[in-house]
Amino acid sequence: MQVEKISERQAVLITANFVLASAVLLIPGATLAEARQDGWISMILATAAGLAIAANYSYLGARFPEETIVQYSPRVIGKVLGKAYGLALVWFALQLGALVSRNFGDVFVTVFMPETPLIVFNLSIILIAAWAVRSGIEVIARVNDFIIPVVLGSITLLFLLVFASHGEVRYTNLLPVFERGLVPVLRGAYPAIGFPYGETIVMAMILPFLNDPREGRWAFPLGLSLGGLFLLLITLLTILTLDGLAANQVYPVLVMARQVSVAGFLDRVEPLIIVAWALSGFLKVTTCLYAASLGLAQWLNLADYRPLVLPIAALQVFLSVLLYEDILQQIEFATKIWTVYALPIEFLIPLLIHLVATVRGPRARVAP
Amino acid sequence: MLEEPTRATAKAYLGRFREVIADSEKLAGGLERIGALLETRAAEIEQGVQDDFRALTLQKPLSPCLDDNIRDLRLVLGDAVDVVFRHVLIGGQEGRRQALVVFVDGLVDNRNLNEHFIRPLVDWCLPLPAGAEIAELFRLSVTSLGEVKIARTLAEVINPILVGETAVLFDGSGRAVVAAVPGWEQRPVADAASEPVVRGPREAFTEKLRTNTALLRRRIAGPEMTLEGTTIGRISRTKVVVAYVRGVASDKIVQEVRRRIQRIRVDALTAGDNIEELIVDQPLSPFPQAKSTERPDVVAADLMEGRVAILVDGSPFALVVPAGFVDFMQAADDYYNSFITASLVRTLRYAFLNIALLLPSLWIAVTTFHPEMIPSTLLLTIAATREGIPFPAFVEALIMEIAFEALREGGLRLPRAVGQAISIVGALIIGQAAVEAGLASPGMVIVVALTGISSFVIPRYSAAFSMRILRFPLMVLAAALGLFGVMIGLLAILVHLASLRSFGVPYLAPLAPLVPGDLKDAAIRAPWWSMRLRPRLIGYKRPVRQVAAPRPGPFRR
Repeated sequence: MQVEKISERQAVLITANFVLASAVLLIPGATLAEARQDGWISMILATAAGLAIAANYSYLGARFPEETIVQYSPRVIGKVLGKAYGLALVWFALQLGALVSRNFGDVFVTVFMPETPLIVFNLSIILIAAWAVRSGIEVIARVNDFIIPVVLGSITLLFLLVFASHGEVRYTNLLPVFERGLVPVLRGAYPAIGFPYGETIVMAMILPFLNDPREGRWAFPLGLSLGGLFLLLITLLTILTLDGLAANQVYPVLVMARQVSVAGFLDRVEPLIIVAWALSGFLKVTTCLYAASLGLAQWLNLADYRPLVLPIAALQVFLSVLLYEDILQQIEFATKIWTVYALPIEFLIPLLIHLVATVRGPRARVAP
Repeated sequence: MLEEPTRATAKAYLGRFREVIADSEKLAGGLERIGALLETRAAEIEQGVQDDFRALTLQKPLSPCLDDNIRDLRLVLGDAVDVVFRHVLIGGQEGRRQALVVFVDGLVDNRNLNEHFIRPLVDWCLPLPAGAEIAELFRLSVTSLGEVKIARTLAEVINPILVGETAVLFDGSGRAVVAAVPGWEQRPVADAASEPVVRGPREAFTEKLRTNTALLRRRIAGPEMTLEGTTIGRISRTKVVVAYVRGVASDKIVQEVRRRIQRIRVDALTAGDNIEELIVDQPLSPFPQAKSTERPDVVAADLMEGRVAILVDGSPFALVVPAGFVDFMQAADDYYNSFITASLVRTLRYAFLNIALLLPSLWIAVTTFHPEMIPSTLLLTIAATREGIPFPAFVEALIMEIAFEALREGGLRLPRAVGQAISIVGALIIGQAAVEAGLASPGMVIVVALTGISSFVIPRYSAAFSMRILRFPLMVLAAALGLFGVMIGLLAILVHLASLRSFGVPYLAPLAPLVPGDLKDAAIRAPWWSMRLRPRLIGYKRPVRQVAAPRPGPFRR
């Protein structure tokens, strides 16, 4: 089989999309609940933390340019620990994909079709994702190339529309800064570190497919910053328009979109933001499924990941339905537990690999 | 009266006789079947032997004896009614010698034939050389034609004859003279019927390959213009030409085209356009992966971008590869009108492409599942018109769309004079009467009409077709899952398009993968002087189209 390659620009865009995807709707709510009007500062802090995480795995990728993290971790930190980490990462990608497709289904059930069973949405989205995954990373990158302008364009358009709506934006909402000190700001940044920034560890699975994997050093942090910038904009916009109201909403962005009204005919633009979010979420599901399939194939030393795609996709569908019972459990999980649960996989163990690799200094294996 | 034991014996004998008769009957039936089998097999073998014999005969060198050659010719050609054997006696007083002119009636020009073959032969006044040199003498000193070949085997005589050339055989010589005075009925170069333009050249390809290659040569005169010939079809022996500009077209693509054409194994290539199905990357895709055009100017422009064109004898359409999605949205007109007009028109086309694909399904989804998305006054209007319609929106849309497709197909097939009637009946019955009868809502009629018009806005017929096909599954998805269904359908189409390649070039380029420089000729058409580079994924071999293309303006010293 021909070796697949994606360009650095495509990697930047995939990362940006990965950061944006489900976070666009969920993160402002989670952050603002803690940090209130200082939520934008929390976002900046979280992005900085995310950059550290990305720098870590990008450095590892530059050190082992021919392999994914599942392949090189057993050689660096020992077979048992390395294999255990590989399996954990596969599970992580699988679960992350399930979570995102669950978000996806949840929003469609809540906003559009309350009587349709959840599994219909999750199943359809994961099936198409599986198709894309079987077509290979190049196809995923191309789909991403096509979709990301729509996503970023929609957010920008929402931005412009909100500003064009009369009397929606109140700059005084930002005041007072640091009203309750630094602690709430940090507490607001905390959920955002694990989700979405830390999740980009999944990128360590596509890193060897870059034209020049060493360029991942800037490509992934740049993509993360791009996604972070748009998240910051959305958070800022939510604070500017909704003020105290924002803290009590599950999807404050949708509330904001609902308030847009320009010249009396351009109103209710939330389908715009939902479509953008759904497209973006689809790609995140696809990327996760790809990482899980490829990771498991490499973990088992298989030559091809394609036979694993459909079984893993099936697991993902059921997992996505079983994950939690309602939206409250989800918020609890996403804001309180997720970061603690995910940080070892996202950052701590890769950091350990980094340290051990630096100390022991094993040379990167040159692929045949 | 026989005694009992004898009677019993007789009975036994009778029984034996009956058995024997039955057995022999069975045997006879079997033998008959075997006989029939043997007969067919023998016929087959004889046919095979004959075919082999014919094939072998073709390899034979020409005999010095004219009668032998005539016998062989007749054997290979069978009873072809259109093959003419014209005997001529040459050589005036000294020594008469027989010559034979062979040609296919209808494929040659009679006047030229007479002038260049029959008359020089009849008026032959040179001394007759002995043996083989007579053919050479004829070639050098008698006929006044340009290209004259000397044939040594029967195949070298027969194959050219069958494609319209003329052969002269001489008695006593094992050589024949073959030359072409072609002249069959053909359509003259006419207006491009399927791709008309307001401004720009009008001529279109014809069915004759030579005319078509000449049309291309006249547009690209440089020696880099390459025309490679081959034949496809074991029996039809259709001529195929692969055209590209050497040094501009990428070797990889040219090589790939050559390989795929050589891989074709068919008996006959009756229509040139079915070569498309034989060489594309993804034969099961609803999207066209080769651009079929009848305009030489379009082909010339594509060649200069580094693409490869395939011309097939007998087909007035050229196939251009690689072709991507955006290529199907470009019309020849775009390059002859001002770039501002062209860009606006192109943007419009993309908008209507979406309408052609999506409008019915969006209408179904919104009216059935998401009425809250429509402003309330508009919703009331729509609801009022839909009142009393006995069908759900999906069924209504399906009926109307299918009726429209049928009308379009009917209008296409009917003779021109009747075609008018179809459109009147269509407009009247489908439009007005259906609404008045309460079978369809006016809103739906508008939707169907707009969809129909939109699909005509797509400049390439084959691309419009894929939109027409995909519209229906999207309608089904919309009816089942609302906007979500439409989105799922679109994602599936997108994934499919992203995985498509046309001769190695990603189908969605330059949109995905994004090639920023090539967007100058995608949704907009940049002015000529700014198009300095060729499309990156196709014309990378010589990327710079024009080194100095200054922005026009008044000349300043």
